[in-house]
Amino acid sequence: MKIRDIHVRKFRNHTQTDAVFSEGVNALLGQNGEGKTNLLEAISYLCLTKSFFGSTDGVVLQVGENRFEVSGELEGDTGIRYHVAVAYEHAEKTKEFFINRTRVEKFSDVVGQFPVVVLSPESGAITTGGPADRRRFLDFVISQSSKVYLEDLLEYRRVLRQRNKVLFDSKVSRTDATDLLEPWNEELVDRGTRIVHRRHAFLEELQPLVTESYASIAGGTERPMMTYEPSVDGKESTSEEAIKQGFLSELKRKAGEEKRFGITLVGPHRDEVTLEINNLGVRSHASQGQHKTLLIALKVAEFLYLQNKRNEKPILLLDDIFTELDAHRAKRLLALTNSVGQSFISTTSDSVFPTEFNWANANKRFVVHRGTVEHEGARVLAN
Amino acid sequence: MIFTAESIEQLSEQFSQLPGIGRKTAHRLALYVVKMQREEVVSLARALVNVKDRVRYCTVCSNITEADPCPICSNTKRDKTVVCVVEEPTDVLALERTNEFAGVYHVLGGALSPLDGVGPEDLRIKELLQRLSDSTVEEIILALNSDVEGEATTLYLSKLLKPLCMKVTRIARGLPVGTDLEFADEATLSRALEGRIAV
Ligand SMILES: Nc1ncnc2c1ncn2[C@@H]1O[C@H](COP(=O)(O)OP(=O)(O)OP(=O)(O)O)[C@@H](O)[C@H]1O
Ligand SMILES: [Mg+2]
Ligand SMILES: [Zn+2]
Repeated sequence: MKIRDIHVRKFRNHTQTDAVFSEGVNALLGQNGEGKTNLLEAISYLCLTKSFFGSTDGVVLQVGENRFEVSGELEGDTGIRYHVAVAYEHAEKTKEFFINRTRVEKFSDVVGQFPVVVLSPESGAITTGGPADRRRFLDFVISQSSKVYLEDLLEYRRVLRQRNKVLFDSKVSRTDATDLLEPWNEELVDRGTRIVHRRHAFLEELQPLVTESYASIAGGTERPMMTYEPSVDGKESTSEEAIKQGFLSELKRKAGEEKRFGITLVGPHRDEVTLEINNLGVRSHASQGQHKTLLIALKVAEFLYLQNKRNEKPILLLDDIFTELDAHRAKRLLALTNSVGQSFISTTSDSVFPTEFNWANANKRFVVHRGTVEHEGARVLAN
Repeated sequence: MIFTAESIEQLSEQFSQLPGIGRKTAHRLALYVVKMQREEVVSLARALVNVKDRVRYCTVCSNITEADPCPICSNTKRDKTVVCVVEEPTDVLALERTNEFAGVYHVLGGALSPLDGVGPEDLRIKELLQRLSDSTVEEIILALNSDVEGEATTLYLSKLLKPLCMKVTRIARGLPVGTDLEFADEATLSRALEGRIAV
């Protein structure tokens, strides 16, 4: 997948930005606060209908304005072109998404059609943060590879909120809510089981990709390991039926506790994925360098996974990661970006690109300055 | 936008309370009313009040109607042994459009949604049970929306109705996930009705 051009209106500090991108590396150069991340966020709206940072539509709308628009032309690996546009109106609180000028009814139909992989300073939380950060990673990737998963996930979240409300109400009013809980239990287990099943399968497929890319960065002596620890029983048995039974018995076991706390304590919203390097917990034992290497390995694996699932090379968005990475890993990553397809790399410093980097042909440099984006022109830095 | 006339501001505010109308559209509608002829505005206002005064709920099926019982309930050609349970009056309209259903309806007035403060006692479930106790109903078809609230209501009702020893079915899940019945096209709806399954 490639973005050929983009048109951004009243989005963050981009009042009117138009840019034609290259097929390879697109470097976004500029000082702090000029609008590099904002442009990547606009790209995220185009591909995923929303911000990958989780910012709301009202927040990314330019201050004092009522409507933002992002549009552009995307091209699939087979050469099919799509005109894609997203527009948000604040007064009406409406967001509309168009593919080839036809309105898309459900945003879940869009997610995954234009796959993206994001590596930003926030991504570090995947290895350093809590279980919620790793669940977010799983959901972000699996949602792009499976529409069913995304829909299950959205419904699961809704069911969870409804069920929590029943539990909370019954706690406050001190009444028995067994009858009221029952329909929500059934829906929770139904969606939840499919989500857990899918996460199992995903991690199983991702593991060899992570192992391989980790080895290619760090050499062969260190072995990264991901272990899925679903909140429901059935760690060993991964059939849907086994997961469902585990879920049901765990719900039964925790019923009293749930009642006391007034909140749902069982289900994929409490899953964990533990990360280890050579059998030592990453969060507790890994060095900073190991964290970084693992993060890149995970991202490369994510890229390969999505490419395989969607039959389409994801667009790679690298936000400011060179401040996080050392020269060695940055170089590895850049080598990769040269071979992956289209990438967008934001940075404050030119020096992250090796001097021999070829700015001709497929690679372009853009200067981002106060919400404007200008093509610097092809320029060979070498000699 | 700030209007110089208080009355426009008020009308706009009223419009924006309506479902699907945002602030901007509300302003546009209010300004449109200013441009309308006085008679037009009067007849609009009258139409609004008329609806409120004349329309009531059918004492049998809870559908909205001017005559009680409603035309469907009082139609002798309709099969009173089959009752189709729906969320809203708009769902009755959607099912009637298919021309496939010859039974009668029961309108619940919504679906279970604890987050919106809607529990079983806020839906016309009592009325449904009462209706079943003194009539000759043989089959109940649950035709609720395919979102999580509709499904929860289906599950809740099936559990409640099954012990009453009648045939309880639900429409097939031919409906795309999360769609409202009223937005489903006729063909899909007919298929869903035809392929109903026992619960
Ligand atoms: N909704 C908004 N409306 C107008 N301007 C905004 C909005 N949101 C953010 N900005 C402005 O955008 C700028 C930040 O842009 P951005 O985060 O893209 O910077 P950056 O180029 O990535 O910088 P850095 O190198 O520090 O990461 C800030 O100056 C901020 O005031
Ligand atoms: Mg930034
Ligand atoms: Zn009636």
